Amino acid sequence: MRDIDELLRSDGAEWRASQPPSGIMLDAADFPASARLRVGLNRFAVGAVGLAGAIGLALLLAVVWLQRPTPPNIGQPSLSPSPGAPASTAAAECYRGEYRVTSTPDHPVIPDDLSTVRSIIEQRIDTLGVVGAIVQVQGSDLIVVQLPCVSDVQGVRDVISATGRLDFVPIPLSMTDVGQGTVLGTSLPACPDDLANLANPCVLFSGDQIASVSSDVDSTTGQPVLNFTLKSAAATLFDKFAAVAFAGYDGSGNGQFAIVLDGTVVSAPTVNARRFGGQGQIGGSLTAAEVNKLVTMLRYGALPLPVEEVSFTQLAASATPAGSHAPTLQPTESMMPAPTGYTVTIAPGLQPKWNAEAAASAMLNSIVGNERRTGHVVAEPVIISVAAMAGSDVPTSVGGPYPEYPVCWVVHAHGTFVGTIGGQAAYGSDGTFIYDDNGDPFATHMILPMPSP
Amino acid sequence: LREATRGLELETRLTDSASDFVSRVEPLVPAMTLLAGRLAGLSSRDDVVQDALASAWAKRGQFDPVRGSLKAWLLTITANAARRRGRHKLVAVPSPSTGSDAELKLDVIRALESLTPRERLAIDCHYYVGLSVAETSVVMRCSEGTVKSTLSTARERLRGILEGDLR
Repeated sequence: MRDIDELLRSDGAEWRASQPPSGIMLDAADFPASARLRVGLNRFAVGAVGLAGAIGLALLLAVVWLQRPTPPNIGQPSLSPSPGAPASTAAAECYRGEYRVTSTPDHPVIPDDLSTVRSIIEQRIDTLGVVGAIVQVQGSDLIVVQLPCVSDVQGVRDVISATGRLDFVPIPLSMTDVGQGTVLGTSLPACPDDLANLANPCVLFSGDQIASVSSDVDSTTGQPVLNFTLKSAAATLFDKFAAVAFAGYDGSGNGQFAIVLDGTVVSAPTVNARRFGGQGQIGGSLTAAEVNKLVTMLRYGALPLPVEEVSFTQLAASATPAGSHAPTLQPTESMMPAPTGYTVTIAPGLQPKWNAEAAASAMLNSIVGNERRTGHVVAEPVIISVAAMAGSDVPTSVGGPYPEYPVCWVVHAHGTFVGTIGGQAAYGSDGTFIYDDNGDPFATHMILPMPSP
Repeated sequence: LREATRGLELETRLTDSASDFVSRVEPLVPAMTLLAGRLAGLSSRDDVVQDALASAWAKRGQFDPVRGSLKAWLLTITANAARRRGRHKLVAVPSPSTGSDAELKLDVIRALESLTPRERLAIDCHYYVGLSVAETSVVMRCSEGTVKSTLSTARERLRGILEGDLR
């Protein structure tokens, strides 16, 4: 009789060896409570894969790998001017653009289209964080957009006139140079039933198949990500493609698909999972601004008809000279429709880190937007005067003083005090740094009592 | 650093991220499968593992790395899932070997069936699934000392049965 311990050990080892491997495939989509699959380069998780030495880990990491973290084609307009930028523009409406909605042979322009286009453009601009833009239908085929001063106006223009046609495009393995910015054109064919061995890029489905989209932050890496959910037809198609495109968890030989906006690749991830269940996440190397831009495009969908920029003009206010420490910018009546206007006064001895006019413009927009949201629209356009001063100088009559803020703007509309915005970044008149809040003047403090009607 | 990071990786709590969950649990599925196969039999083995995975996902917030490894936690859940299936028997695998060796195997199987459930679980975990005494203790929710004594008692009983058979 052998020793019982030895007997059990050998019997156990033999038994283990005799066991057929499990047929269980873990798939993140099977764990629905999180409703989240990763599509994106997750360096942390990828690192963990390497560490654990288990290629299988990459597995349900699901997915997709952003190929090139290059800046997007479409810039993100920003309300935060560059530090120390000289005053440049000062109109509530800095820009005016006219867009013609063009008909197509099988789709003449009807009033409903115009209002749809108007609404989509308005939503897009709104989502970019530009508050106070005015989008109106004019005549039988024109959309007129009035924009406040934003630092990246080109980005806004691009977003306005983008048709917003979004295609999900499988990329043949033979094409290895597809990445962000690659132009694939707008006339890609629809994909054949057989998705294996594709010869050319083709449209698997389009943006209308997106059920929902949201921006989020990856809980592990803190990176901005975009979550999307596909409608069931597209979810099935995508899984069908993923099953073909996915070659292995080590990432080599896996197929690529591109998210194509108006013919240009926005993102070209590699398929790193076999199944997505209609849930996807794009991220890993996108900035928050890029994510917002994508959300804008995905959420409000394509324009029903193409729009063409007929004109885009910068209003004359931009010619105002700048540079003194206490500029007073008084837009002339010819610059904008009366009675719109506002006054910016930089308190002597203080120069905000950011562009004062753009800050004031953004503030104006915030106030107008706030009034619209709360239904307290005083009048439109609103006449506002904005005075910047040291927080400690803000008089008690308007809620001051605010000694914690080196600079404050006191905002008046129609001669009535509506609020104070405190900023925490300022430079002395000699350019010396006083205080910094990382350059975001709007995240600091905002007091906006509602104006009396 | 890699080694250190690996340790940290294994010792963190589970997050709500399905992909994190999957990437951490995936390598442990074989062990879960062995235990499920041992406790529930080959035919319902994968069902038990699926139950255990679903249950682990639902209870992911309860995993406490201080109290034991992720592996042990998952195996505990697997053992519970097998128990819920109401089966706790060993399925005899026909052995290709012949002669006294094959007979001995059948004897061992029979002998194992005479153990108490606790003894049987200890033997299954330690010898058949290949867990350490520490891991077994987490699965059995008892101290390592208790595992050792349970194993010892079980071995004595098995020895008695097998020697009796051989006599």
